[in-house]
Amino acid sequence: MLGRGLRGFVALSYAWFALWFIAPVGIMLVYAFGRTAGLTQRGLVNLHHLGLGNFFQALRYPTGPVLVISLENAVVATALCGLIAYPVAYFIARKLGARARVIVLLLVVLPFWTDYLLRMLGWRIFLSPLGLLYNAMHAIGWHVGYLTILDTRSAVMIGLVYNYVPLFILPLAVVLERIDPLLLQAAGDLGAKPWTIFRTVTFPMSMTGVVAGTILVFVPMLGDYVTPTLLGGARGLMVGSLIAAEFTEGQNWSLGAAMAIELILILVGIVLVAWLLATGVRYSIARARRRSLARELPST
Amino acid sequence: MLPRKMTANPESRARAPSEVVGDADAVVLDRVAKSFRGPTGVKTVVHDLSLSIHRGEFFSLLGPSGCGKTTTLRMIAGLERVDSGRIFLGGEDATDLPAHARNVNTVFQNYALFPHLSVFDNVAYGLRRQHVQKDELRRRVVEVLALVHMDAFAMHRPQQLSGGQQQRIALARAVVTRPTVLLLDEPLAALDLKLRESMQEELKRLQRELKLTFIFVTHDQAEAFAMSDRVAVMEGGNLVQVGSPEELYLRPATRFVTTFVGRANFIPASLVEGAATSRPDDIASRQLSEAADASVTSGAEPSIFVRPERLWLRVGVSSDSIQGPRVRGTVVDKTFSGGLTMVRVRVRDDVELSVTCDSASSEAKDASVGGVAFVTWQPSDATLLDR
Repeated sequence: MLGRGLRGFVALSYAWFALWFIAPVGIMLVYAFGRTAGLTQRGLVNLHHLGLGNFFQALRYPTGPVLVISLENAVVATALCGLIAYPVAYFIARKLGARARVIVLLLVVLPFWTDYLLRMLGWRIFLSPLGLLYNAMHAIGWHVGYLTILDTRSAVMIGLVYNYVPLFILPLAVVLERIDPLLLQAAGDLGAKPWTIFRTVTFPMSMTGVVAGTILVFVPMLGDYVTPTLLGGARGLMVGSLIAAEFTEGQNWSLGAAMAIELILILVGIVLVAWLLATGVRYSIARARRRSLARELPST
Repeated sequence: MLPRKMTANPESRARAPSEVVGDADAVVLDRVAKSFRGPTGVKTVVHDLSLSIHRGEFFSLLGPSGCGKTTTLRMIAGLERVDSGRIFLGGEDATDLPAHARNVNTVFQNYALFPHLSVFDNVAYGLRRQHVQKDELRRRVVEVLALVHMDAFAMHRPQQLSGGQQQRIALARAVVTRPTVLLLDEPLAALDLKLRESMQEELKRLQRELKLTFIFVTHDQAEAFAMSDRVAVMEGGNLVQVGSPEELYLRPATRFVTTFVGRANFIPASLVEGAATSRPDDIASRQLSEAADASVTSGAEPSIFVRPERLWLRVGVSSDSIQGPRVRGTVVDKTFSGGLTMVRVRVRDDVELSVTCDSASSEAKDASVGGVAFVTWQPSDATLLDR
């Protein structure tokens, strides 16, 4: 049990977190029902006439294709993050000593200590048509005309994976590290070869880390607008960019808020459907097995 | 025990020399050694250990923690590589085989059940690795679950079970593939006393029914004695003595074994009166008087060892009226525990003897704390120890 003082502290930290999470979403929710203030009115949003108009307008807004592209980007980039993060996390958690593990984990989050814009601009320099990558390819005798990566979806993809992969590595490394090595030995003792041990014990037991990493990466990725803006140009548009544009260039905060709320609902819907599917499948498998086993065990 | 000079021929790994491995031996360790690199340098955990374990035997490795018994077990399982020496399983050299290629299964101390699998799938794990047919697999899993009385829990997760139930599942998982040898690493240590006793019986029953070779690691002497056909006592990475529980208890080879496998009294030979006056042809008394003589010249004091239940108390009599060896002392404590009473007698400032008496006997009644008493024994019940 936690001490009284510590419990108070935990409660306070929850309250702090709730304040800075709920307050902005709450304000946005209110704004979404308002109207953009007229030129002669005070404030950003006119809250005298509340209505659902913004939501309908947001639905009519030609976000469709952009939303599909955003979803595609987020799904592919999340999958790439997972593919890169798994071996890295596995190496960190299973192959390194305690001290080396801390150092490598620090290196993984090291980019976060540098300004985000600087890192993105760095990528621009690296990927630019006659930039570092171009020169490097040239040097090894791989001649291409101009590099046409920058300001395309590929550049956005690179940026997304680069930015979010640490968020996938961290939870996965924690989960992998917690797997008791004795379980792997027990599997080997029962006749499993190393690859079978991975397939039947390590990987299934790391699923919580994979799920945590996926959610941690996929959700903010779908709403990301800075990465596509900086690396994607006009061809790398994502739905977050459109929402941001309504707040900045469009000066239509209530419409932007409504679009943001709808994006949140879509995200919640995706996660919910995925979760329902997963539990449904697991439940029906368990039920089928219980039934087939019940035939052999009349006593139970 | 193996002859000390015996060497396994490295050229013929497939089959061990017949002098080393009898057909009746399930496991043979031939001068196996293991050391670990720790923070304080290299520590040798197992010194040239040689041991043969017969087929179908319930064999225990007994010793205090850190004596190398678990490391020995892990080397047999293939979970730890040997530094030197050879391991034979069923007559075949298994020294270089990885754990998954050895037909040996382990019941781990904390069970090591797979938390992401149901009880059924835990037990089926080894069978699946052998690609056993689906129907046969199900039949065998159900069968072994019934054997450990856990058939009602097939679809449970290990976390939903109590310690004793998890223990049964770990057992079922290890025996279902019919290994030639089952290794048990203090499997009962985490259970409470009552459960432990019933599991001891269950293990014995299982071993009889399955006709398996069990190698059981424990630090609990009573547990090892209750279950084993033979027991090996280990101390500091060395094998001290191997024998049946009776042999270990009645004829311990060293002082360590003596104290480890039960209560023991060490009586300094110089205190003993009347040893020479007992029958002169008695080897024990002759040894004793010789040892007592030798101690005068060498300065090292030998002692004789007698179990508490083999000592007799005499109260209210003179020394001369007692036949045979005896020691004079003062009663310092009397503990009644039902049918038996434990009396402690101080025979020298630094030596106290424990004597078990029948609570109904006159000695138990007459002995009073602070009073004078004689402790006596049959020479044949005493063992002379010079270390």
